[in-house]
Amino acid sequence: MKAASRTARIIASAALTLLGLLLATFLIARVVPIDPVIAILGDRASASSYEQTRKELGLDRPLYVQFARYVASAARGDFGRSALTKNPVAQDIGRFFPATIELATGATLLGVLFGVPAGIYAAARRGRLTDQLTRALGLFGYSVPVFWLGMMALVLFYADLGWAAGPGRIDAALEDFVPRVTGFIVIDAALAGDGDALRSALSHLALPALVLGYFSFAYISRMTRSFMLQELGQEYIVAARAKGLSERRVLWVHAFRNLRLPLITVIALAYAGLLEGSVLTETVFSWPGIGQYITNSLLSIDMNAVLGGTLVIGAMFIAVNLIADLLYRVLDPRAR
Amino acid sequence: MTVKLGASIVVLAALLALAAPLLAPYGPDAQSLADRLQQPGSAHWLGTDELGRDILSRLIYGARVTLGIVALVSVVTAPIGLLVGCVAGYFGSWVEAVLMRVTDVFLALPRLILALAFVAALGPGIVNAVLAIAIVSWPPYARVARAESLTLRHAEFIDAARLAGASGGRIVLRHIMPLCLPSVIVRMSLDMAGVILIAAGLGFLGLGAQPPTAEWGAMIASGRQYMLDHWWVAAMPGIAIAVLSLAFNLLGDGLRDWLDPKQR
Amino acid sequence: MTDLLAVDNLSVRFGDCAVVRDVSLAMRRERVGIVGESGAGKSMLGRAIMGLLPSAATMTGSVAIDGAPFAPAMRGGTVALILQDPRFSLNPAMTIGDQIAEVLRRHRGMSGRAARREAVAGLDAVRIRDPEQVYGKYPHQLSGGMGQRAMIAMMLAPNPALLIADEPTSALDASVAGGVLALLDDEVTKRGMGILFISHDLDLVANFCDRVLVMKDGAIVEALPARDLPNARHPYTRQLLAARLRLEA
Repeated sequence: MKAASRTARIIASAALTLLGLLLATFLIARVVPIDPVIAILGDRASASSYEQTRKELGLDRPLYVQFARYVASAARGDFGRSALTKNPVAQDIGRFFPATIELATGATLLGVLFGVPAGIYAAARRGRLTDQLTRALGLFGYSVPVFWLGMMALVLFYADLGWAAGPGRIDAALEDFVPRVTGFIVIDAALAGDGDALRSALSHLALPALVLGYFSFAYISRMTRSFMLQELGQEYIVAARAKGLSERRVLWVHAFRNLRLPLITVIALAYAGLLEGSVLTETVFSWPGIGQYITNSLLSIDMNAVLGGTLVIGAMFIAVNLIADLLYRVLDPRAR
Repeated sequence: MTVKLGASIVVLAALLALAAPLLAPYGPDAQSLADRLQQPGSAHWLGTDELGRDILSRLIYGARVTLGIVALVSVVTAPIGLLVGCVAGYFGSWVEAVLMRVTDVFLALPRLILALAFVAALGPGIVNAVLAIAIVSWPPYARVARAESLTLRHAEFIDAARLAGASGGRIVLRHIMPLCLPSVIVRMSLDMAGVILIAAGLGFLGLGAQPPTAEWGAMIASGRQYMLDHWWVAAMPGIAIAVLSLAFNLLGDGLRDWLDPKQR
Repeated sequence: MTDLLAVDNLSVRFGDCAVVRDVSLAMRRERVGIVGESGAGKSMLGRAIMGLLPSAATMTGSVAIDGAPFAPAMRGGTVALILQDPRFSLNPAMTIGDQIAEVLRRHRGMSGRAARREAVAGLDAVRIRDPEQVYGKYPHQLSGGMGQRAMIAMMLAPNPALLIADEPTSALDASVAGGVLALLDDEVTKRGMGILFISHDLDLVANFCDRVLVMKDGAIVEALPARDLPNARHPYTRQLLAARLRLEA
């Protein structure tokens, strides 16, 4: 029973945060110094049509009623219409959504693949070269603006060295030949058995994923090192060594098992951070995801699009953290 | 050692910013289209941008904007965070529950993107940027302040103040908040690097200081078009951001280790 | 016959601070107690003998087991260590059974099912009820007494020649401690091991051990057979004797 109630509390907390997000976007929309009625009718509308439109938009009702209607439409997936494309914002976002996920996933995978072992070895060889190097790399990683790093990487690896593919997700020539199944070009190309497309997609994904992956590496390796140092100071490590087990087993079986839970939270936060950072990085790589969608909408002050995108990314942010919290609960041996 | 290094860089940057008119070799807005996009050299140590403006000078003036934003954000968020946290920690019961709930919700929301939406709605500019960043940055300080004030709540001198007739509000303001200040300050120095990066991000998207004001993030954005052949225009401001952010990270890490050497 | 354990001029320092000063001791397959107050350096001595000091510590002096200089390979198989509190000395993320089985795999070359069977047998031998079930449990699910018994099973599985017991019953309730001590007594006798029993409890050590070494501030101030304790001469030892609670008239 206690287990169920704690899970319920985690979900309730996430729901409350989601409500907070909706309130934030609702209030931000209210703050815009543009009268929404005039935005639709133009500034030469008659008094009666102004009133009528106002009623239609629900602006004559009290604020909390407006908020309730806002939440209801958001729940339906109705984020209004984009002033730029004239499409429903939800539809636009649906098109760009997979690209952001693809990049964030690829980058986080790289960050974990390199960051976790680096953190573990840095902690195990504390104070020595491995440790100093890892910490220096990490420190640099979260001091630089990631969008700038992306730009510099493009200059070096694409323009100067020609190692990496250029902007976009895939060669423009191949773009229309990959049937859209999941929206993830890498997967779709693999499913279609199209080797050229797959290679092109991967080579385009490589540089952005590596740059963002480095960014994640900085955070993940630092946190892993910190947790690992804590674990290595525990008594059970002394006991494990006293048993004559190999140092490798002590690190990777004994200590690591106790890292798994905190690492879930760290990885989730890293992933969520990348989702959020997509606003800055996708433009640099011309990566057609939600981030770039929001950035472009900013230029034309298309508030519906901006707020719709903010809501979606914010909701994903909350969802990732919720999944991490629930996983933690499920996997914690102490909760049995 | 890291504290000293970090602190000295920060102080140096502050000095540069304050003495900008004296130290910058050129004015930040001094255009010279004949000299546009020049490589770093003897006349312009860090080169010139697309309008022929000296990059070094723009970086120095840009330090004013960045440090100014950092200072303003601190001045706004610290009192709010302190107040909320100390009130919550001291009064306890439902006050604490409600305030901490609100704080937790704020903490769980994505900072950059909300700040972005906020500035987009209000209109770009330094003031709006500061406001937006402040609104999303105060929660961690409330947390820290509340944790500190929880331990102080039952201290003897607080009981004495209560017996002497001091009201709750007075106790919080006069006694508790000042004592929680040190840990908030440590927390702030750790966060400052993040604020710099958010501010740079907003600037990059054109939501911060408006042209022709020199702002590091905006400089990167305008340098982007020319980056393939004139890398320095976008590279230099980025290096400046990285160095300053690094300095605050070192400072924050050093301060935290100094106050709690066990935790490394 | 060579000594089971020979420690020569062992010192442990953390920077400028010496926590073990120039300690020498020799023992056969007997029961030697090391007694002293907290901070006297007893635990550090035990860990130093096995080379398990924290990285910030420096150690000088030598340790020899059965005539051979101590090598890390001796850990577990030749020398074993029992720690104080099973809540902390057992890995919270691994089942009890797994922690015992890995010792069997490492030191007795057992594989999968054989290791499991032997581990269950080991749990049974330390008088844990329902050993099959306890095999799959996690440390936090066991009581202090059971946890310590499991620890004993785990550390004695490879049949070491020397056991270092660092406050083995100090974290247990008095009622449970007796049982664990009796178990330890049995096992040490049965296997003919030597045991270095570290404790702050003078009475406990006096009853369990053949010889007693008294430590103060990192150094050994007196060494004597357990039965001669009442006649101890060093002022510190006499202090410890006087400080015990007496229940007899």
